[in-house]
Amino acid sequence: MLTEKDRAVIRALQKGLPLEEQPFAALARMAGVHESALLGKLAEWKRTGLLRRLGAFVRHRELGYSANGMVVWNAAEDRIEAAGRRLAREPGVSHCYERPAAPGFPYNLYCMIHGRSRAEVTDKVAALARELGINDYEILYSVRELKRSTPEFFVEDQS
Amino acid sequence: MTLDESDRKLLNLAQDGIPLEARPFHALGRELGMTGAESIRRLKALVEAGLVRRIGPSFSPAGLGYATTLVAARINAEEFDRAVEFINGFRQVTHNYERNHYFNVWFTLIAADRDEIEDILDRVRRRPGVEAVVNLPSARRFKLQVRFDAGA
Repeated sequence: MLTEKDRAVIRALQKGLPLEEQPFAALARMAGVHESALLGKLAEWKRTGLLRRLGAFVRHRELGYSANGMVVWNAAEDRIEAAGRRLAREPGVSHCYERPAAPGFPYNLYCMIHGRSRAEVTDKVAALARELGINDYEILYSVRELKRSTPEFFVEDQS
Repeated sequence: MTLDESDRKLLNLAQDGIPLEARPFHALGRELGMTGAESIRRLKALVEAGLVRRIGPSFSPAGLGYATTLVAARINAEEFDRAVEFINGFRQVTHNYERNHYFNVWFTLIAADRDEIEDILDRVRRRPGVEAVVNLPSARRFKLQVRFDAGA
């Protein structure tokens, strides 16, 4: 169960890590807790997975990853787990989720794959398809980023 | 901005994680053979140049008690901009992309619960130009690791 202090730490941290010599001390002041308590909470949350990562988030297009495809696969029910694990091992894959097939959209395995060109991505996906034995798939490329915002937690009741 | 070898290594290390200690940039710098001050200077430059979007946390929304989903929508050309603006207006919509497909608008939602998600989707469905909305929540996660090799 999250305490009020936990939420204060989360609200402070999600504003961003200050780029200064003792950033956690600054955050602890904002949250009204001791630095050691804050670091202890972060370490615990990292351990349990509540805090997935504390790090730099890059603009990947600026780093040359101009081809970003969402690949949707139609895998046989008994092949989804093996396929999901194999896709997870692929370095260029950032996201991989099983989603139940929906009316009008029969795919059940989704992954985001990134490369320096569409040709590179198409080739990589074709190779994965051969390896997985799944030939019912589509690659949906991002044409335009319409919105990109960082989630803000526990601020709904703040003025 | 031209990236040198140290910038690339720093980008990779910083993506892997900022150490949870009192002087984290000093620790990062030590791994790269530079002072904490220099690693801070380089990170500021990378943020300034737009290569780093932010340095901060990624929390598990489900772990914090939130509900999430992916939504596919089909919006006609005539109403596209207005409908997208309406969707983007929800603070619960975090990412939104136009894709080359019958379903041409794909967005993620982080909301208080499934009811709030359904309420938002009902409102989106009623907008002019919105021809279809499909809710695609995840059943299982195989990977979530958003890390881009900077080429060091």
